[in-house]
Amino acid sequence: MKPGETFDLGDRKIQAIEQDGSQIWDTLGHNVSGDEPEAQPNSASASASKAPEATASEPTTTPTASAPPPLTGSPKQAALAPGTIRPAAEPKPAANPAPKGPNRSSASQAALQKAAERAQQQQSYGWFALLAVTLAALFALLLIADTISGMVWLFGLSSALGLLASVLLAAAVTSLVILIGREWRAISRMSRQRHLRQLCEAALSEAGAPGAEQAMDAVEDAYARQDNTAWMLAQFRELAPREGYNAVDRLEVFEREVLRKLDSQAVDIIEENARNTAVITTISPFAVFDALFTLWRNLRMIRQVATVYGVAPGFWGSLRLLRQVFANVLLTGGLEAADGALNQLLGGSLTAKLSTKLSEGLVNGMLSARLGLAAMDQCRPLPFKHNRRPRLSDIGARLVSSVRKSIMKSGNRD
Amino acid sequence: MLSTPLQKGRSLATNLCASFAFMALPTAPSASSASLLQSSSAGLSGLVTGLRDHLTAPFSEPSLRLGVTGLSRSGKTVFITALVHNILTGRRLPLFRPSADARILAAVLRPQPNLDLPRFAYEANIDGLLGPQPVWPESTWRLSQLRLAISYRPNSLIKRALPGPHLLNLDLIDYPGEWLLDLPLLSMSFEDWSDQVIEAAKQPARAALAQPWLDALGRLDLNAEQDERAFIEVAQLYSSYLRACRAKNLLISQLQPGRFLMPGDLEGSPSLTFSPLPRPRGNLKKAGFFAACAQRYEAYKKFVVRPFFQDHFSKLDRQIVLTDLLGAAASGPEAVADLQTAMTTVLQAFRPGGNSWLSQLMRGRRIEKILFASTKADHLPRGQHPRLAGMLEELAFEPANNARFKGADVAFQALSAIRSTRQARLREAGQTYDGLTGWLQGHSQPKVFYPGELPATLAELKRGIDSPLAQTRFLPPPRMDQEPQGLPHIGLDRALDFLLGDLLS
Repeated sequence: MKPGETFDLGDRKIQAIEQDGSQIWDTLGHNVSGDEPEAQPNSASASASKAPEATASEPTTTPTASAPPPLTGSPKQAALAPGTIRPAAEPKPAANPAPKGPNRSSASQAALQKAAERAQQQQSYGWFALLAVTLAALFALLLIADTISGMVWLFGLSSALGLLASVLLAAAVTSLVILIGREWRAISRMSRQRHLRQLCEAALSEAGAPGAEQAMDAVEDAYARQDNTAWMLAQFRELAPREGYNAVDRLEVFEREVLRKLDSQAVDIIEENARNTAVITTISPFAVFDALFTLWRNLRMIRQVATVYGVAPGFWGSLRLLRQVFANVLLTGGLEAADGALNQLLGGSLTAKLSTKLSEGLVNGMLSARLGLAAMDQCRPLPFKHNRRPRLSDIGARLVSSVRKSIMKSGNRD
Repeated sequence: MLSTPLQKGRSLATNLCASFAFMALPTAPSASSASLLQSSSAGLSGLVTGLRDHLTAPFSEPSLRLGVTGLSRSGKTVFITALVHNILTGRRLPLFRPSADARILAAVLRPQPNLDLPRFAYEANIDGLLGPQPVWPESTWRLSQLRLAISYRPNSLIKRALPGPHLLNLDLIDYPGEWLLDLPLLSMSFEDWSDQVIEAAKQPARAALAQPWLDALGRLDLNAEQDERAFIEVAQLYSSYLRACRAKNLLISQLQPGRFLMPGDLEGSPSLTFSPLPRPRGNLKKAGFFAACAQRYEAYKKFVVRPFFQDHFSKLDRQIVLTDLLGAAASGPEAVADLQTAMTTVLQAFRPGGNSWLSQLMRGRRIEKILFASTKADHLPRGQHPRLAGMLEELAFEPANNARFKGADVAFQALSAIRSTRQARLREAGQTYDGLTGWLQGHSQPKVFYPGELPATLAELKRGIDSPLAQTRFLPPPRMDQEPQGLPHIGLDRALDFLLGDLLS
């Protein structure tokens, strides 16, 4: 069975086309209804092979079981039964059906409602918006004018200086454009991921939903394109081929096989970051330095976690992600997290012997671990279902021992 | 009499146990064959064996008897072969947790526990499937057994701390599906059974098939003595009627006695040479043909049916029930209802329920998990598998509900232990349809099929489906062992996970 081979389907010939691993058969020469063969990309080979086979067929089922009639006789399925006439194109509704009376009035009402809301918004924000836009425009204008006059001035001084300045300017503009493009791509990637997550959640929420197929395809597509996950996906496709597994089962295997590896990578990143944050907070003399360092590390961690799951956010993307993650922490159990962290720390006899500084560091570390776990939740294409959700307490237990170890080590060195 | 005290003691113990059994088992006194089996098996010896097994269990290797139940042609042999092959060759089955987590270390075939039974011909079957010209295993004609020993790394810390290799002996039994249907005979007298069979034979769908046999019965004087030739003639006519019914998939729930279709080693013995008879007019004579047939019927029950079920079905731990729902639906409206009847009757014989150590002692082992699988899922595109499983769930509602009520775990799924088709997409006029490709006898190329769609509800399915595909016999695809994931299948790993997963953890 190779792509391009043709097979008989009753009175018609069909041709195999390979498409991302699954084969597609195109019907080629059928003159049942006297139509032209469809203009398919393979029509060249089709015309060569079709001639002897494509004879007008009698309207009865062929005796071989090659293409049985559908099990139920809905007209749409009967289309492929041998000898039946190919269905006319589905009757499409007229391009712009005139809306009926009540519909139109409700539509226009909605439009009016919207316009009114917009007007109200404009009333409240209108002047601020105008101010901001005009100021920005003025600033941009001044910047451009200043640049131009500066260039002219430099060219006036010496053409070499002017050239140098224009080269620098060109480089700056190019890099700016590239940066903006990258950010744009990252943001669109993130919104795609969010869309993917929504698809998957919908597919998993109700059993046997038709969305599962679509969700699985989208997930496969997204992860096959990334370098770090392409090999995992190849393995996954071998393990659970489309042939033998339905989409819901494949999503399960995907979570167990591919996401488990990604999850453990993400947990490693989170643990490392929590440890660093804890240690730095413990030994740093200045509170301001703590805060800046923690912010930077956390941003970096979130970005790394996102990259593991193939989101790779840009700068603005990470800020947005950070906002989402914070919202998630606040909404879903920031309190629980803090509680858990404190219990973890205060419960043990270890706490009694700890300095305030160390316990501060540990709390800080736990909070950033919590942040990392929330980021994981945000970036994962599937909700946790078959894999165990990593718990803060697991990370916390290892954090305490590793922080103590690294502080002891530095203490011994002194 | 030398043996009298012994017998007395035994019968006393039996009574005691029977009363125990009733205390522990206030089930409805349905005159099912199950209670017959129970009362005969729950003797003192049963209690002693149970106690011994229980006391030695921690020191011996645990074993699991997996019952593969299904009428003939439902795919029992293929299921066992595929199961053994996948575990023996150490293939990773993603939905079978122990295998996916690489906790199965190794598996070997071992000498089976019942040394008097033939061994399951695993090697011959798998060689046939993987050979240059793949063929399905031959249909089973006798009982056979196989023991697969699986060594695994436990998941639980407690188990892991215990010394020694962690082993599970999996005992599999293969048998002709025809024999299963003998079960209802245990609770039926010869007269009742005969009435039922003759009534069914007069139905219009079967009257033509039954005519030669009924004619022969009409010629005989049932109250007179007959010589052996009459027995043989009637029995042969009756069994050819049964065979004709099976060929047309008619009345599969009443093809009894099963050994008439698949005699095994007993071919030609008197206990297999009788026939259901109409009640003779007038007084029944003790030496007459009717009485002789009734005697042989009782002998059949006593020496054939009861030992078969007692020895092989009363000690099962888990069970998979294979059902060819598609095939039944394709052979007509009656066949689905008939399949339902057959399944309900057969499952009455098994005792579902949870196994705690106390209940094991009191009333013998019970079946803790039952998986209902709708086989030949490969005859449908994968999008329709959930619907197929749903229909089976509806069809098997009664036995499943009964099992659940008694504490057993029940699951349903679509299954194809060896997948003989590939999925395909058919495109016409810009629309795509789900299709299949499969190998047929006498073709050098796989053929493309459009299987159509299953009806949405069981009620519609019961009206029958008009698709030759459901009865098409695909060949096993060539070079299956070279596929990256091992033998292709549908849902085998999910089935194994349900049946064995918890024991290997």
